[in-house]
Amino acid sequence: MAMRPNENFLISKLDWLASIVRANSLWPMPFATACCGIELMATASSRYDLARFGAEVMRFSPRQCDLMIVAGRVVMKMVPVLQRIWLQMPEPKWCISMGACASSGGVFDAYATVQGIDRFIPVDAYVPGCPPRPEQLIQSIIDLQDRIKKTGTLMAKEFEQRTEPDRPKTIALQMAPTERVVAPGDFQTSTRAWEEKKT
Amino acid sequence: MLFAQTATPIQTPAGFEPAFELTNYYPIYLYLGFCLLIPIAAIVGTHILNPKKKTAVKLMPYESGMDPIGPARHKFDVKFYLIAILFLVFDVELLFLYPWAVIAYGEGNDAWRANFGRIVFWEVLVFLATLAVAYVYAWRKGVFKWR
Amino acid sequence: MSHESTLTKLRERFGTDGFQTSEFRDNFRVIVKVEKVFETLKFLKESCGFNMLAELTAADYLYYPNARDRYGVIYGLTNTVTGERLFVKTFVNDPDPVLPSCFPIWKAADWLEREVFDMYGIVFEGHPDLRRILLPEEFTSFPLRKDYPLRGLGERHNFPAIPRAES
Repeated sequence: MAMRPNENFLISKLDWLASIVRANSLWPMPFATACCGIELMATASSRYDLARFGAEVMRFSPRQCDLMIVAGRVVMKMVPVLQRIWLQMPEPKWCISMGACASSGGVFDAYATVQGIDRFIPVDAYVPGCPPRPEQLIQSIIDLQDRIKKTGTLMAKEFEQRTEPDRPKTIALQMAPTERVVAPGDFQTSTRAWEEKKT
Repeated sequence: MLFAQTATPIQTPAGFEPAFELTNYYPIYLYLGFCLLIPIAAIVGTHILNPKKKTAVKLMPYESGMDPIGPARHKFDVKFYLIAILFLVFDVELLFLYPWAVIAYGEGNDAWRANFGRIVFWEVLVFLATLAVAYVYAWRKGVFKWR
Repeated sequence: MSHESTLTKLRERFGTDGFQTSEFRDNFRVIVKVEKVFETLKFLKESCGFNMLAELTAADYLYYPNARDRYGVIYGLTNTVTGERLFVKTFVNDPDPVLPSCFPIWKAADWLEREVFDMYGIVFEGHPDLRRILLPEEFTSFPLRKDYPLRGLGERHNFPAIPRAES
């Protein structure tokens, strides 16, 4: 027994290898709905050159992506689309909320604009700015890579504990009393309507 | 060198040159082997070693996040193909006419010009007449009517 | 731009008290009652040459000083031959804001009336397909009414949150 090597040794080495590989080949899914999308394009182009960090392969299908960059404001009609595309991305996946509108609703505090996408999908990195400079987006991708390298596991075990929504804890305090009143209307099944139709 | 030179060098006016030997080119095959091995290993490795969750939402067709309407293998009306084929006919016609016109009346020497201007000219007319017959036929068949 | 010929024709058809007019800068309005609005619009198209419905919008006059009616529906008409522009305005009231659809006159009214219905809840009778056009189908209130709170009634928080482990 004493001479038996740690049985987690191989797994941990594989975790390390997989994390390194995943962190250095993030394939973004550009969910660009507004002006932040222009900065996203600038980041991917030759002047700022996101390819230096292995994240230049923008794919317009969620099947081939593992990093969703939500750039721009998201309105109520777009939330089921956003959630569905997020659910369609293969594991492991990460999400960057780019710009003030995606992170908090920005100046658009109106009836239809969602006040931050983190209320509905998990977000790993927030980029402030209106719109953010390409350097800021690159910095957020570097930070995300660091985090993946530190905490990533081969079978994406690090996500299994997070069964609660990743929204900020103070959200109930931020919401005004009138906002806490939830109007009638069945929005709960809009993301998974197709799933329910199938079964 | 992994393989020794076995064949004798060939004498040329400039000096001795090594004889051709297929075994000298083995790095190309090694390279090809690695070129195949690396993508296959990447695809198979990620297929085995990745977390998978096959939910109904993930397996549904991707229509930019919307509900798909109808099947993906949708049948198109045959009139689209007729239009495409007709376009191709006249496209190919132009493709033949341009080089002929350039050689017959522009570039090329006098002998060419004479031949292309006389003999080939009639051939081109026959070609155009064939296409005109096809055009009239298509017209009479009602291909240009959008039904 | 002078509107005299149009006004003469309108007076001949509807009488001098059949409508009111008002003017602000180059913005000329003809104000009619709801019962007369379809007739007036039809007459304007067929006899006065207003062949284009440039815009159709509404305004909520709740809390507006000296306003007697709740909703104003505004039709912006254009004569593409002479370039004459005319605004026809009518008023409807709660609890049942209904007015006839002008879809039979101009086909352009289809989406414009749907938008007004979407934002104000004004029902256009005779419209072939009066559904919401901008907001989701599940939305129940009419957000451009003045009694709707600025930040909404919480519809935008109504979606399910997807936690990390589920996705």
